[in-house]
Amino acid sequence: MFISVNNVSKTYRMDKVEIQALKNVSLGIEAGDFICLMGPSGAGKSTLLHIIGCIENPTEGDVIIHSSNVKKMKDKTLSLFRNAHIGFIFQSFNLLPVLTVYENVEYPLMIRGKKVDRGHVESVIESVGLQDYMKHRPDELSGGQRQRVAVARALVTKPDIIIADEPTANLDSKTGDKIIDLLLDLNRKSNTAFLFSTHNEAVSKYAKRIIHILDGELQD
Amino acid sequence: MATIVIGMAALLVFSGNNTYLFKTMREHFVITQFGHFQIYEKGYVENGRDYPFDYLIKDYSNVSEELKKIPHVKFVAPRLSFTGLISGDKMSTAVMGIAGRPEEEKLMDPDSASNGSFISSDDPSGIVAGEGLLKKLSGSPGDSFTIMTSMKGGGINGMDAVVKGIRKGYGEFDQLGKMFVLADIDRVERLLNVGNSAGSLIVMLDKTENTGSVETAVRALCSKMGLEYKRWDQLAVFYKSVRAMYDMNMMVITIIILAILVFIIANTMSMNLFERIREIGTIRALGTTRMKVAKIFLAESVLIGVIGSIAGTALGLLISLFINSIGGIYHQPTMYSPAGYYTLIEPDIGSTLRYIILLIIVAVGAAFATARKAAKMAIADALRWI
Repeated sequence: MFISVNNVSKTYRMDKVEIQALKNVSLGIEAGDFICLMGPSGAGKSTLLHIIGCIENPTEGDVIIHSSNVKKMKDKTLSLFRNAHIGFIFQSFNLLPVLTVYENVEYPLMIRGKKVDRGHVESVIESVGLQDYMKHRPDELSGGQRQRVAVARALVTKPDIIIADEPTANLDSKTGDKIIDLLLDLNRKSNTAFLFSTHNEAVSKYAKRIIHILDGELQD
Repeated sequence: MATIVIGMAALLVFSGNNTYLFKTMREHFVITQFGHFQIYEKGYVENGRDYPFDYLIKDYSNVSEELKKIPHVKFVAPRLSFTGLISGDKMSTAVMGIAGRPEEEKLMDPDSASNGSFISSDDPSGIVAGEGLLKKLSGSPGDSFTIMTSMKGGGINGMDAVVKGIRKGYGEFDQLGKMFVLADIDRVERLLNVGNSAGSLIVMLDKTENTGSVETAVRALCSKMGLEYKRWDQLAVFYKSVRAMYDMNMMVITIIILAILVFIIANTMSMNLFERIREIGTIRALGTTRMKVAKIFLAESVLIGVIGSIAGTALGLLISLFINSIGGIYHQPTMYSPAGYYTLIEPDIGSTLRYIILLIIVAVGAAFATARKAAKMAIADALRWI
C-alpha cells in the first residue's frame, strides 16, 4: 500500500462556526488501483481528494505516501513531492489559457528546472489522441479535448497516482464516457493509480473499487 | 502599462525642459558674468572686497598668455571693478562699473553689443551704461557724463565718459542696471592709478563641459604664479538657488507621478490576481512553489516597467521633437525677464536612465504586495474560486 490515510479529520472554521468536512477517515491505495469516490454534494469527496493530493492538510490524522508523512513536509518539499508523485485532473479542466496544448502538458516538467524531453511530451499527447492539436490554445478546443489535455498534463510526470475531482461533470455523457475509457486504458497500460470522485452512478461502474462517503464519513 | 508610458513621457518632457532651461541659464551666466574661471591675486577672495587695491594682478598679460596655452581655453579677459559717482547735467548718482578689453567684452555681452554701439579701444572714453542708470540720469546714447572715483593711494580722479551703448536690464527690479557702467580697462587703469593691473582674469572655455578637465591645469598655474581661482559654479549663487528650486519642483512632480503609478499598478495587479486565482491554485497543485508564484508576478511587473518605460521614452522623445519643431514652450514675461521667452525640450541620457530604473523599481514595489498575496494563497481555496 503506497498511500495510507490514517484517521484523517478536517474541520473548517468559518467565523465562529466549525464545519467538520471529514471525520476519522482511513483508507489505503495500492499501485494500479482504479478507485471511485462516490457521494452527494457536500459529502467531503473534494476535501478527501485534496488531502490525499497534498494540497490541503488534515486537521487530525496523517497521510503517508511512499513511507513519507506529507503533513510534516515544508511547502517547498511538498510542492516538489506533488510534482513528482501526484497528477491532477480538475472538473473545469484548469488549463492555462495563454499556453498551447503542448505547453500546458509540458508545464509540470518545466517546474523541475531540468531540460524537457520533447519526445516524451509528444508521446503523452499522442496517447490521448491530440497529436494534431499541439499548437492549439485551450479556447480552440472542445470540452472533451480540453479534458484530454488535462489528462495528458496529469500523466506527463509519470505520477504514482492521478487524482481527478469530478472529471466528467462538465462534459456530456458520451464525452464523459470516452474520458473514463481513456483513464481506464491508461490505468491498464501503466501502473498509475487513479482516484476520482463523482456523484454519477453511471460513471462509477467503471471503477475497480467504489468508496461511498456521506457527511464526511466513509460508508464502507 | 499605459500609465507607465504616460508617466515616463511626462517625466522626460518636464525634465528635458528643465535641462534646457538650466543649460541656457548656465551659459548666460557664464558668458555674461562669470566666465568659466576667475583668476585673482592670492588673498583676493578673503580680503579683496575690503582692500581691492592691495589684491590686483599686476602685469596680467604674462598670466593671460600662460592661461591661453591651456587646452580648451578660448580667451582670457582682464577685468577691473570700480565704484564712484557719475554726474550729468541734471543729477549725479552712484555707479558700479567694470572695465575690460572691448574685444573680449563684446563676446561676453552680445546683447549690449547689438544695442547701439559698444566700447572700443579707439575711443577709450566710451562706456556702455545700464538701462536703469540712463533712465535715472535722463540720458541716452551720445550723451557725456563725468565719472569720479577714489584712486589707489588716495585722492579723487575723474574721467569723461560718452555713452556708446545701453545694457538692457530686466525692468524695475534690475538694481544692478541702475548703477552699471562698462568701460575700457586701459582708461580705468589710469582713472584708478593702478598701472597695468586687473582685479580678475575671466577665463572662457570652448565648452562648459570642459571645466573639470581644465581645472587641474588652472590650479597648477595659480599655484605656480601665486594666484587663486574660483569656478563659475562657485560664483553663480543665483543660478544655484534657482536650480535648487527647479530641482525641488521636479522632485515633487516626480514623487506625485510615482505615487499615482504605484496606486494604479497595485490596483491593476490586484485585479489581475483576482482573475488568476484559479490559475494560481492550478500551478501550485502541479508543484509550483510559493516563491516561484511570487517571482512570476514580480517578473511580470519588471516586464511592465521595462516595456512601459521604454515606450514612454519613445513617446517622450516624439513629444519633445514636436514641441521643438514648433519653436518650444512659451513662458510669460517675469520680473527678471520683461520679454517672454521660449524653452525647448532637451532630454538627457542620465536623467532618462534614472527615470527608467525608478519606474521599474516602482512597478516591482507596487506589485510586491500582490505577489506576496498570490504566494500565500491556500491551494484548495484558490481551486474553489469561481
